[in-house]
Amino acid sequence: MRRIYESDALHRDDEPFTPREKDSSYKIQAMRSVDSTALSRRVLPQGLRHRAVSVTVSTPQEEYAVGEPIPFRVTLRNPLPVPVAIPTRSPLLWAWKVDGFAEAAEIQLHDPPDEEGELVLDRGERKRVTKRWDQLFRVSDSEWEPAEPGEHTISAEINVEDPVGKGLAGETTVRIVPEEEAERTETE
Amino acid sequence: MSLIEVNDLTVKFYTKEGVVTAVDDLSYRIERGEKFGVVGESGAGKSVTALSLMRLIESPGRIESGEILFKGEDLLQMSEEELREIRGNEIAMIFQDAQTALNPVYTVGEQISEAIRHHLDYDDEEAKERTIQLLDRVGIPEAEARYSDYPHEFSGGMQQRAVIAMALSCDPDLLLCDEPTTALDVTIEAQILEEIEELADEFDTAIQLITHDLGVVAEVCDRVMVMYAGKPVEKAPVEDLYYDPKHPYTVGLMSSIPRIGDERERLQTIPGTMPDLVELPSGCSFHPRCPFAEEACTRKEPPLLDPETGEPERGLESPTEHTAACLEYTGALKEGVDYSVEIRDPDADDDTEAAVANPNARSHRRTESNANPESESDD
Repeated sequence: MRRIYESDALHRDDEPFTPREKDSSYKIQAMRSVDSTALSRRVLPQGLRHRAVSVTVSTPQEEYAVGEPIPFRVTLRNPLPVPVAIPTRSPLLWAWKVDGFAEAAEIQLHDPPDEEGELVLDRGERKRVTKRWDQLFRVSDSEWEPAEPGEHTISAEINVEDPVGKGLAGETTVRIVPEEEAERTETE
Repeated sequence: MSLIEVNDLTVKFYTKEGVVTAVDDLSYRIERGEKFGVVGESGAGKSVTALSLMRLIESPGRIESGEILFKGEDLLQMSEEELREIRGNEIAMIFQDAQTALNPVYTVGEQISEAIRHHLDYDDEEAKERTIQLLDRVGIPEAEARYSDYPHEFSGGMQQRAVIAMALSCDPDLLLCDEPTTALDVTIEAQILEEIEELADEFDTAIQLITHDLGVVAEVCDRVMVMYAGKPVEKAPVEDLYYDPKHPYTVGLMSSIPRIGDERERLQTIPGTMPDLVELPSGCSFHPRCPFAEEACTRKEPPLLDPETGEPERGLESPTEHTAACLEYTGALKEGVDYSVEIRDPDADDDTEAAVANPNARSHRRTESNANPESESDD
């Protein structure tokens, strides 16, 4: 039987809600009668879990005017056809940072209990979290200061020892430009 | 010594989306026999606060810091067994959703008498008798016949009343009521509230009443705490809060109460919604919705302050203290907040009106904006 997306009957464009091309080369499978998370926890080697999972950070633009909130998206992806469980150092599963400061705060915001946590990504799961940085750094419990114009790195990492070395971290750079400059680039 | 003292309580939920700060650095105290109201929109952290007092926060939630002193003992340091002696006996809770709170496979009567047998050492017959009395007291008709009914045989309102009966069964010292009358019609609501008040007066039971119904708070409570995004924004004796609200959020809540005879075509609301607790706005959490917000509000988070002196709250508040968390009282706002409170009928609390008169005309300073001079002459 011919599927509708195999025919040429559909006009495809970039509008929302139009069906995407079907990718038949990749099919997610798992045994439904088995607790595959528990199984994968026992069978899948740590190294492989770390290698499989990817963390990416993206922003819609590279440049933002001073004071303009910067939305960014953190994507945690498990391309494997089995669930992956990554033990974390604390119940805090992952964190985002700006210029190395967790949640853009120069103080420690969270004091998670001293016990291990676990980040479980289902088979083929892509966990997307949208966040926003207001171009402010929290300098104390009750005070925030604006970030200087220039380059800033927004990163995200899973809460494990040496996340960068294990490939469980991602980052992107944005530039904060003074308002006049931002307007000039826009008109160009 | 207060009956219960909550000091710097912080409760967080560690989720895959991030850390949800449900309660942030919350402190308050309740005296014996006092009726303490907690108000705020959905998601303000009211229920989580109550659940933490019973240590009923479930994973992934954690009580990260703070202490909860009940009769001088820290509930957070107690063993599970010690706590079980207190739960249901000295601190009881009326849960929000009665259907979920009741166990579907036990009869209603059995569930209530179990607590009585466990805590008060009654035998089966005595416990049954007391349960029937309690069911009758909360207004369940034919209580004796209903004793052996299962929860699904009760209507929603009756289930709620059964949960109330369960909470009252051991004459607790502190009763946590998490929206106890939301599922009930107004006549039963009035009865139940009266019952709760009576109990508080009779047995010197303290009550923490969580609600979004400001009318109920005015009716029942002595003192009120307004919560927003997990933090207290205003604490005051109930009369002060209604006649002289100090925080723009409280003013917004008051002005959104619909009134009979109001000529406005649309009901007044606070624009926007409660922020996502995973990602709170910088500075004062209320600033994105506040009609008086200035740049300073995005940079600095105000602590609870005495509106008259601008002094931060010292330790735990005294019962008469009125505090609000707004930068206005530190003198950091250039324009100030401007609203007027119109009191229509000084004899009834419910008729107190607080309205944001004109957020754009910012000529009045705080001292002038407390009350409308015209309304004062009406009193």
